[in-house]
Amino acid sequence: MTIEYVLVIAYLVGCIGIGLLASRKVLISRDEYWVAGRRIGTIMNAMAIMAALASGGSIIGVMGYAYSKGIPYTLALFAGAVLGFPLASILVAKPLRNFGKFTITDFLVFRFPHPLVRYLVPVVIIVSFTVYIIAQMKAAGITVEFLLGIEYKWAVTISTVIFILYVSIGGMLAITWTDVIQGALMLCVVIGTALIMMFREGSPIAIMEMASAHVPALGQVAHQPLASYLGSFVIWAAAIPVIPHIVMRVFTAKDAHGARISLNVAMILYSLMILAAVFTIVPVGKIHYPDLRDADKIFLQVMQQEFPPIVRGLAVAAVLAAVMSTTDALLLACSSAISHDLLGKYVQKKLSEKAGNYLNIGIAWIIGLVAMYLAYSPPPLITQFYSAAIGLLTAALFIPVMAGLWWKKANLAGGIASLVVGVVVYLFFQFSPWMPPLSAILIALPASALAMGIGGYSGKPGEPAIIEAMTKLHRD
Amino acid sequence: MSNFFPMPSGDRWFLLTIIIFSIISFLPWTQKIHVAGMALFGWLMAALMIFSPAIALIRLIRHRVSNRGEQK
Repeated sequence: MTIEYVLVIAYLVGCIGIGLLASRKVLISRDEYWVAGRRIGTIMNAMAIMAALASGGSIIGVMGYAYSKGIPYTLALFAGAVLGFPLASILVAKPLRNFGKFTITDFLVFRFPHPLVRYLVPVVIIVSFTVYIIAQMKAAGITVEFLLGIEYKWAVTISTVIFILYVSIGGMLAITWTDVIQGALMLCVVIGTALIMMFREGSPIAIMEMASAHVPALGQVAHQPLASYLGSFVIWAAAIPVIPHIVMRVFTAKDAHGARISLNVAMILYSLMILAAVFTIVPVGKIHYPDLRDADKIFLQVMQQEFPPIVRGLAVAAVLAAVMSTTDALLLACSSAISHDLLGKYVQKKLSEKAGNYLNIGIAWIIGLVAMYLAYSPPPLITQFYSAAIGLLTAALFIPVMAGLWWKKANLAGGIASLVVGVVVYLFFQFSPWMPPLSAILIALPASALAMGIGGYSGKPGEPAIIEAMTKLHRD
Repeated sequence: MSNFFPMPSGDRWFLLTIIIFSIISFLPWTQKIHVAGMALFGWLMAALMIFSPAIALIRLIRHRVSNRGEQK
């Protein structure tokens, strides 16, 4: 156990050290704190985006999901996320980077200037991201508990305090630096493990054939109604272009073209990692350990039973890296939703930039500790749990953002109607007993689009100044 | 006058292609055919994961190269 502890402690101390180093630079201004001064290079940004998306869900959750629901169902969800990146690079990267503010709320309030937009958007972000953070904390907790033997609640508490510490003091710069290291660690561990599996068991196709002979359901499309497959695909494909912690990465890029390249490089790396996991580690795990009670523990089971301590130590560090690299970005986005979007107009203007950044630190701690408390009673199947929360965000923001960016007739009435209808319809169908899991989005998105269309054609046209400003955002 | 802000035609075609590919992937026949132990649907999703960002990246790099050529 000593080697595992040394590796994990070295990793955690490194993260805090980076936060402290970054804090010297970022606490001087809001631009530095929220978007790292808008000068992150293309490759560094790509690695940071990959790490931000590759959460605990992308290591622990993806394998648990594939183990429990089959590989096709899992790939439908993750292919949606990957597809979202080319969509983001075409639909939002250039105009939002040219817009040059901090958050997605800034854009929506500019396009649809109304108090309801100002307050409802950050509330939706905070609710969705808190659920997302809780799922990440479960991934950290069960990993540390399973592989290091520390009690679940203590594992959650320790990892939470450490990542809140470096996010709150280091802002976006600390997140970017740590994300690059964490992304590299995740890729090495997952792809390295997959290569070892291939060396032992054969090619991914041979492994799949062997696994499907033992457990045919692993490769079948039979676990859920088709609406559930389609819903999980649509949630993530539509979420990525509007999800705040990814959009903030667009704002950190040096220019719009660099932002677009970063998004696509990130997704190639992410896809390689997910495919390596589901085509090698999951099938081998399903053959050797077919009856796990908690499917999310399949990667940990494989690590514990089949690899030496040094690899197990790296695996714990990699899962913590995955959790932290997403949670830190979520925490920063959540924190910005409160201190910049909700309080910015009233509080931040009265505070110096430095005092404002100390307020951000306090808010990051409050959100993190609330999520930590809720994570003490963890949900089953984390990927399904946080995907449902991201569905709420998608239902609320996708149509207003896309119509706002691309449709000249999008106006205040349409913006408000599509936002409210998206939220209400999604919540109604998400909690309806007759809807298959993750399928509420298939009704909520068209309803939101319809509301935008009715508002756009029947309401007062948008201000000419706003349309003129939008035209400028689309120029090179 | 169009009601939409202009989008480069290459981007439009790329969007249309990946949307059509996604729709084809979800048609019922892809779920019944099995290749190497998995439904064709799963393989198409895997292909989408690799090819959609790879093609988008190639297009962006070509665009950057041609822009530099024009500037020279």
